[in-house]
Amino acid sequence: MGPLDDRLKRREFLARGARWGGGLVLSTAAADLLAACGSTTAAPASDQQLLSGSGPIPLDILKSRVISVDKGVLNATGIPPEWADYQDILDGMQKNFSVTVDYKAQAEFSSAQEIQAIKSTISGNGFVPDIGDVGPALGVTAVQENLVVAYKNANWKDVPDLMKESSGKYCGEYYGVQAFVVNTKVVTNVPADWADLQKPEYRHKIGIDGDPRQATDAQMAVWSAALANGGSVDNIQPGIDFFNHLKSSGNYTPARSDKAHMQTGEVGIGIFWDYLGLGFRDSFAGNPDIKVVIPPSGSLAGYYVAIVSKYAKHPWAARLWNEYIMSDEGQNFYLKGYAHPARYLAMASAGKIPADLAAKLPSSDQYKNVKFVTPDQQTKAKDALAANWTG
Amino acid sequence: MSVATERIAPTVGAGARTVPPAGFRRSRLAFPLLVALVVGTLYFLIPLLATIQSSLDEGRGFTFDAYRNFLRDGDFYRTISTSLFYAFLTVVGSVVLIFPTAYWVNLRMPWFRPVMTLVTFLPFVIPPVILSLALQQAWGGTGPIPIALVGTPLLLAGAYVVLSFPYMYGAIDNGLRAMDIHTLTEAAQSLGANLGTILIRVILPNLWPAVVSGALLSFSIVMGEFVLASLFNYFTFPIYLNYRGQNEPHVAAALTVFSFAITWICLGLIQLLSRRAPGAAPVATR
Amino acid sequence: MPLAWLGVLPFLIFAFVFLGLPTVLVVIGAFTDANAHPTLGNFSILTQHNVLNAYQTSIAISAVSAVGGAVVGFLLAYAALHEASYRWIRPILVTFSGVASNFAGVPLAYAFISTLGFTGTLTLLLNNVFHISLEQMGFSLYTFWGLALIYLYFQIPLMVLLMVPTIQGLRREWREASESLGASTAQFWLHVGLPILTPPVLAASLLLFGNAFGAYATAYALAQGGINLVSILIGYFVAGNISFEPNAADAMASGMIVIMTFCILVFSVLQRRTSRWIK
Repeated sequence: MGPLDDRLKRREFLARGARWGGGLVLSTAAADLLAACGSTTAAPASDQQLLSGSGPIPLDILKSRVISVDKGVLNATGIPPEWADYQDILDGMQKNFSVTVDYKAQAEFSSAQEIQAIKSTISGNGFVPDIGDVGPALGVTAVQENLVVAYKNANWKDVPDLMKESSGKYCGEYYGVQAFVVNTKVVTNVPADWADLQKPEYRHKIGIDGDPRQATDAQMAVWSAALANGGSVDNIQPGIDFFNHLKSSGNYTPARSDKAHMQTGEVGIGIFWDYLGLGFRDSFAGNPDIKVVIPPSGSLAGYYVAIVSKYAKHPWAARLWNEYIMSDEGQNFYLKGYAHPARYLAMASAGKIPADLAAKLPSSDQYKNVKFVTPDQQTKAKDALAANWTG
Repeated sequence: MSVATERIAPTVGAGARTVPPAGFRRSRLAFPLLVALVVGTLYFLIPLLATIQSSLDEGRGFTFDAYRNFLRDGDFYRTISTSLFYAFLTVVGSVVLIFPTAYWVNLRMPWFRPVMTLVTFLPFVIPPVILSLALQQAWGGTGPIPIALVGTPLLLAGAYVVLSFPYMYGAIDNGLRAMDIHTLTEAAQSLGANLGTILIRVILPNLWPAVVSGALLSFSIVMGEFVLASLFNYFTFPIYLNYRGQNEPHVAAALTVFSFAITWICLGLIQLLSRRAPGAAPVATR
Repeated sequence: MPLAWLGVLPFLIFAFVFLGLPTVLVVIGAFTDANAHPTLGNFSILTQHNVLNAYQTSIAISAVSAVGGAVVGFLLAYAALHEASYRWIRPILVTFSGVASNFAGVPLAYAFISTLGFTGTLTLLLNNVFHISLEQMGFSLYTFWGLALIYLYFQIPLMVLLMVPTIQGLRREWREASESLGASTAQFWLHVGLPILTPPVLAASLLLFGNAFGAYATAYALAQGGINLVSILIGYFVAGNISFEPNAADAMASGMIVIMTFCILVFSVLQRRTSRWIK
């Protein structure tokens, strides 16, 4: 089983995700092609036209406007540097385009708060984020509340249909899957699947990444538990029941599975995104030793989408950011951070993924049973949690 | 967030225990009281010691690394400046608003005092979470007056001034009632002073300990306020503390020690001042 | 005479803008529906499982930390003021109480995690040196009782600050008079001490209750929404994480306001009664 085989399997897995979007892929591609043909008229478009169009804007125009108009600044929220290797992407913006990303490190920037940040600054006061990195349900909210503009980057067609909004109002960037992240210093037997978590030896050990009513990451953990316990992508209740059971048996701890708690062992088994867990593993460098296990009986894939704020103060920088994260370099940075880039399938078949990078992800066997969800299903799950999750 | 220190339980610097008359047998401290003292001391000291220990020891022996870590972080200075900025705005705004008002009420409208008390007590009834909900509905751009203040410095400063009401008014009002402002005012007026001069050059110097008392308390509150800053997305020091705390346990402990030191310094100063303040009489009812 | 109002006008305007108007909007919102028609229907949210549970937990933790804080705080204050204890205890206790009653929120939560978390200093010390495993005894900091323990850290000092002037007002002469009439210690307390002290102690306990009920940051920093409290739920609504109807959120908030108002009102009334005896 060489790396090539692994890549093929992964491709398969991603293809299933793409096919999930249904037959819309072809028709969207055709529509894009037609639109592209239609827009290449002879006269160069004015700045105003470029900004109000749905892109893509040629890179050299973006590069020059970003300095001349936006003064080389981008205001961002919700992109912690240690999340899916945003550090390299932030550095890349600086190095390649001389754009300084003014990143507000309020760690509580759940997707909902990112939307709130855009909303509450409609008057243009305070910190106005130009872009956002949100879960798809919040992406839908942002579209419904008219907070974002359409922008289709140069690599739009490579993104699987289910991960983007058809008119360009949000675009999937990367995704990960729910995994058990285990601190082997405080947990001797690494659990292999959901059923194992009920064992008494894991008393006070199991945690998720915050409150599922608040954070997509935590919501997906509960939902993945649902998959493993008789639930489905349409029914999250068994997951809530599962965690209630863990609470009453004492195995569950409300302590958040953040980096600090994983490191000290305050949380022994954290259930959250695989790319975070793998990132922690590297960062701790053996102190403590972290194992990442993707539970075969239930794991959901969660993707995050990029949005461009309608009220962006730096509209060129916002679009440049969009182009950069969806470019080969940007997508490979996500991969370096252990997240699956949205364009993985297309890039792999075009041979744009370095073999060593591809080898760093866990073997694609583990991703066999991963499921995707639609924004509608996510909204439904969110409501169910709001009504039934009692912390 | 704690409430009601200065206002309801004002300084107890004055007044000592009563001393037993000579010849009266000196009783011993009952056992439960002794236990309370010991347990109390342990309960309060141990978390502090544990935090200090955690900030100095990352598992590799004694080190100041955790402190060096945040002292080198640009965001630390950024958030401290932001918090200091708001603290300054709040203190100045609060004093400018409350001092002349309290003076005026004491001088000319003593019957208005219950209203003042009521208004300044309201922040106790409306804890910061509710205040944030209320402010969002009023000034989030969708209220009856469609101005969006949420996200502006004005809103947070305004909210913080409101939170400081009970303490600032309590301190200043107590101070004013302990001095004879009528005589002072008349005397100054007879010498030809106008209202502004009276306030700033006659009353304020006498009121200084009370004002500083209220100011320090408000300062401490603003430096530690988390709810409003977090819900309205302002990047202040407590937000920074929480953020670091989620990533590095020892830096969090170091920042906690730092935060506690700030509180300690502020309130320690108040205690020192109140001991010397003229007429810091305990007030039992309001 | 009307001109005198100018003096208080800036203050009143400010209070209206940043406190009065917002509060009124919330209260009105609780009693109106989406079309601004008066209704009591919003309060049905209080029966929703999640919300009811939050109220129960909030009330419970406020009660527990208020009682605990009141008892320990009273004992500490009394012990410090007792003639038999050293003179230096009182100023230290009062100073520390002043600081500690304000040391709440995020740093307090982290301090306790450092101490009593599963990998906290004290936990490990007890485990390794004294072979006492808190965890096996069923203790977890991230539970209701853990949070109550943390709340005590600012509740007890608040009680101390409230009680010191009151206990100081308990005149020594009363004790001497009752002793000279032949009463025992128990009789003194039963017939003199407790009747006088009950109102202020009760008042202070109510204040402690309100203090805990409105608290947000400490619980949030400790466990996010892991301990289901009303303040956390409202916070989630403000941040846009939970979608209640705005009017329903107003109803929840009004419920909280009612409880807080009750506490402060009764506190004021009882304090007034106290001042009859204790000047």
